[in-house]
Amino acid sequence: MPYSSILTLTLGVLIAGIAAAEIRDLAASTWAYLVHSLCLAGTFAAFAVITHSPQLYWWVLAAVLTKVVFIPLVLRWYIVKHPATELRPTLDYRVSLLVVAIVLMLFFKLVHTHMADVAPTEAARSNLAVAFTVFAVGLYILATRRNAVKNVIGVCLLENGAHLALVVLAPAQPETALLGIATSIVITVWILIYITSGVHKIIGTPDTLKLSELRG
Amino acid sequence: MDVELLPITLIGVPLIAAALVFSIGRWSRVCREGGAFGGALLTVYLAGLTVREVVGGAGTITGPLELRADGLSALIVLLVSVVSLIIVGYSLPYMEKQMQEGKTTSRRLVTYYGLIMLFVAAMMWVCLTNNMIWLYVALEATTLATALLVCFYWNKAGLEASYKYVLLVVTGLCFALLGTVLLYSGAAQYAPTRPALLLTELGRIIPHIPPNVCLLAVACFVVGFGTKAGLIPFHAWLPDAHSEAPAPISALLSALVIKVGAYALARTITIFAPHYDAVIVFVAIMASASMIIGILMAWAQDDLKRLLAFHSVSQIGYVIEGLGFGTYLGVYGGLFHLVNHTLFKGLLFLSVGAIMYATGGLRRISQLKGLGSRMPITAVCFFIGAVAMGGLPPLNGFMSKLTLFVAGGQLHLWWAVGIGMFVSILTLTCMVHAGYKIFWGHPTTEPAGNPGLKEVPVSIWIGMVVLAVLCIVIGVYPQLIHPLLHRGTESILAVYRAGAIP
Repeated sequence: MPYSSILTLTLGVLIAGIAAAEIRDLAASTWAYLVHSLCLAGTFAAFAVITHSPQLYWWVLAAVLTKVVFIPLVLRWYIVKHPATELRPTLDYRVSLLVVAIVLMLFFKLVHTHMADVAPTEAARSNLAVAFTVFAVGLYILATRRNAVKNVIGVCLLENGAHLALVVLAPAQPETALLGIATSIVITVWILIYITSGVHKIIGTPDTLKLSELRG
Repeated sequence: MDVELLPITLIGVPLIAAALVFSIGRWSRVCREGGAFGGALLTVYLAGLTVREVVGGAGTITGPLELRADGLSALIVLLVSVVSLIIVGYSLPYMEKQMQEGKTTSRRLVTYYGLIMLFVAAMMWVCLTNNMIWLYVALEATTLATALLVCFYWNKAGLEASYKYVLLVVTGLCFALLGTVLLYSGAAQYAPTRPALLLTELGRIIPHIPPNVCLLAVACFVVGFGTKAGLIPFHAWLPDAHSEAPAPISALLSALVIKVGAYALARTITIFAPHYDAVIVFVAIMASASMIIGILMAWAQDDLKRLLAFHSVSQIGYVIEGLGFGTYLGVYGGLFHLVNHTLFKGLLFLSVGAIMYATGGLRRISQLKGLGSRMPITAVCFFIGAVAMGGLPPLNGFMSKLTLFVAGGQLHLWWAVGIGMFVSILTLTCMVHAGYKIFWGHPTTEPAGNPGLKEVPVSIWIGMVVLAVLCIVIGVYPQLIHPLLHRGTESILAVYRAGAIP
């Protein structure tokens, strides 16, 4: 598989990830997350082909089952029952795009200068830079967003970034380890959404700024 | 029983107990509480067998599924099983009263005991796995098992605490996964045929990993496992989760949950320390900041559980500092303090639970006065815990802190030793001050209109007394756990010695 198709998929991962972060309508944001996860699974498949590692097909299967099917379903279960538009974020989307662009460039530079011997191929390097950027976008959501569901999407992006890095740098994982990683993220999302619906029932809003009874 | 099967049985027994509680726990009280207590008791027995095997016999047990028990694993396994048995035993009367007061139902208690046993299984798994990816997964499992226990009362504050807890710890652990991946990528070139990265092989692999990648990985581990351990500045979840959970769960969180973070750090960063002097200083700075900020925040609290939670932030600093030193004495002191902190902090949280039990849920220092004459056993237990944490001889906290100070002196990190001593004195005054206000003086008004205030029943104080006696015995006769601590320290140092010899 040529390098350009991997790059296209990676670009899809990045753009859909940013879209999932920035779209304020939560249903649409979940769809963007779904597209992001599909591209991610596609990237895994492409890596499976070029590195000739059959274990990676298990990663593809796990990614499709957990990230493309299960997590959007859980998010959807919540969104159907509760108001679907995110509260006004603390920062404007243009600021966000600028931050993401700068972060992406920094990571490209870091990966190409300091981590070149860890990621030997060009495809691995650009994917690693994207993985770090998706990770950073996840952190950025957690830091700036007030909606609890959006924060859950942030955690998912964070995990996806780490998983992409895992596939790029350490493709030879046994299937059992993969099973554990895939299960843990599914349970995390379920518990967070379960708690969020409890919060919604008791205080009537998923606004995390209203969660201020306790101070760290 | 076959020795090789010990590690898998240690994980299996609490897991089966959890399955039992979840499936038949709603039939009767015996199924629910008996299942949990029996499971915990059997786990203690198995942990004892493991310790005997490790200390007296081969030194390590290698089991199937990349499970492995060495000195450090045996130490933590014993600690976890004993403390969780005490906490389950304490929960029986405590949660029964909560049910009578209408704060919970018997159906929810099934979840309560089931999740505790699941948590014990996950803890065992953390301590016994030798695979770095599984270490991450097992740490996630301990977080997820305790998440729903933190919001057990399903009220606003509990839900908020639980939400913060899961979000922050999962985010932190993502960093740890990233660190593992970085390490793995460096290792994969060196040993491309290995399917998994084993903790025991880290020392051999580290010298071959490029230094900048290695430092990035260490930073990721400190953020990731540091969040789990409650190190400043990643501690934001800790005071909330500790204070809003039911009292036995607070003890569980403070005594055990944050220790797995320290355990994971012990397995990972210590290995780097001899190669990078910068790492030692970096970890010492982080740990000292944790000590100082933790104690300052503790002084500002009126809520007893939050006060103890901030003391945990402060005390975990000592543990991490010792582990970061990377010398024999440093690691020994760190592990020693880890054990001691589990004992006295478990004791303190259970004592506060006893106060809440007797007064009907009061936990603010300003609301409590003169309880000493009514609750003498609780008062004595609280003071033993307080003085042990303050590091006064002849209690256990003094021994471990002394070891740490000597270790710091050997490395000429005098500023770290000075900060450690200063914080220790502040801890002592803070705890004695709180204890004085709660237990001394004449109760001018009956506490919270509760004229029938009396000592908690024996089923509650027995666990506290056991912990208090352990605090004294280990302080007076530390040789008791020396073989185990020595083995634990050796098992950490052995890994990096393998790396030092090219």
